[in-house]
Amino acid sequence: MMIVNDQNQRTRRLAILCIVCFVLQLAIAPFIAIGAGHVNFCLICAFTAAFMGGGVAPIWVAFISGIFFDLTSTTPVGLMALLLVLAAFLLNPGDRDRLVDEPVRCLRDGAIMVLGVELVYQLMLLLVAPGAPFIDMVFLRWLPASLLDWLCLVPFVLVLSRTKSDVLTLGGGAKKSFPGKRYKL
Amino acid sequence: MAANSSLSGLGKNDDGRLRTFIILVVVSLVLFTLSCRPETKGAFDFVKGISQTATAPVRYIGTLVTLPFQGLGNVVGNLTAPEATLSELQDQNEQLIAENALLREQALAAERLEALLELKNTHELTSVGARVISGSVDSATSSITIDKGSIDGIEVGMPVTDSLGLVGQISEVTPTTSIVRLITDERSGVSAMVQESRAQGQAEGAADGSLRLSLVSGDQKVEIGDLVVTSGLGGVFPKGLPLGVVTSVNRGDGDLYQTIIMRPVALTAPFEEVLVVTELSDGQHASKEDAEAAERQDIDASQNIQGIPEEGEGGEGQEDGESS
Repeated sequence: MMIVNDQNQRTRRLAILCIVCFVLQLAIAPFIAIGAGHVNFCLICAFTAAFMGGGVAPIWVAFISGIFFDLTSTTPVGLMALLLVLAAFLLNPGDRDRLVDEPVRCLRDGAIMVLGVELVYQLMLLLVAPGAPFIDMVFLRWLPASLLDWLCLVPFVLVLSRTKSDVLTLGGGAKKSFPGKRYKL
Repeated sequence: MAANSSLSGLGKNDDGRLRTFIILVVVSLVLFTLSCRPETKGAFDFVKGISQTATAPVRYIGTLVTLPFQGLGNVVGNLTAPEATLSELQDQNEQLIAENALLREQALAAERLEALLELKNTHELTSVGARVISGSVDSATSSITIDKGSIDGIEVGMPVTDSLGLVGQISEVTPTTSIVRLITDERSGVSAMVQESRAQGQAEGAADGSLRLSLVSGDQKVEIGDLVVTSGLGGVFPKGLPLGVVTSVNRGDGDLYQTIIMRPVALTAPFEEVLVVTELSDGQHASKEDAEAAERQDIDASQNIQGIPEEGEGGEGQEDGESS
């Protein structure tokens, strides 16, 4: 299997990912909620980009996603950007494409990191602007928001892990999708 | 050799990643610190205003596209509602139809009386109409975005109502849009009173979408089903706007204050019209009697705590309770 390292293709995919997530964040996110927890498509954008790897680009995507979230919400600027940059760096310490190599682990690590990012975010906001009882924050904001984030992350990871292997491999994409088929033919 | 070159390449990439990571972490921290400081917050509000204005069309389109699907939650809820709830709703419906007929008669009578007295409306609100174009985009606050901004004379702090009652208060303004912090946000607080007993307190939001009426002393009479309205104390919200209906009252033994939970009466569905109150007339402020009653109530509460009277302490506390 020959893997083509197409930097332009990667940049294009990251740009499309950002546009899709930003539009979803503005148009759809206000209407997807459990309790008082809303889905955060900027977080999903940053996580997916981090899983895709590719040098410094995912970290920049995480930063831009965080700033976009901060600017379009009512919270202080820089907090989500900080958390997403940290998360993006931790989710893919190397430079490999985790979406192709280990999509299931991506989902597991994504779940843990979603819980961490949302918890720190809510705690920091409690410190900056006290008001909400801690229990309400946990059960009506943190856990529902984390669940929604993870549920919306799943299709992104699954779709991109499949399309990635089809687009960036020459001759190996179909065989990877259906292992063993060549032996039956 | 190939492995060596690939390893060295990886090292360079790692260095670059680490450097970018550190720089962006520092930049984010600086931005966060500056945006929390009152001295520099204005600049960030300006940038936020630009971004809110620029992204308003996307929010508007999103609301338009998702409008047909927004009733799905209610459909599921109705399908899974227990039989007892449905029969209870039917009873309520019959009762409301009867009340509605009575109210129609009273409304017609009131219209005639109003014509005689040359009254134009009950509240005489000086207001600007606006449309809700989006809900909260984050999990930290309960807010809505409306399609009117500073160009239309909207300012931070103005009260917002819909046809049923108080919705919230303007918290951020851009030239073409404004963000309304809902009364159900945990950081909201509105001076309120129970319409029947005139017991005064402060309505505070909760994350579950309900309202809490605090600072109502244990000897005040509050019943389930009582309507709670704005008291007008503090001069921010007009007096008499409906806030919520009492759903639960808890008077614990030895408790100084009652635990009162309300269901908000105002609804804020997308594309719903709201009114931003731009000016309060003299008649919409709390009367002197109301202010004195609130002060007396707090003095009584202080006496219950300390056993000594503390004049002039309580009333101010409630007035300061208006959200800002």
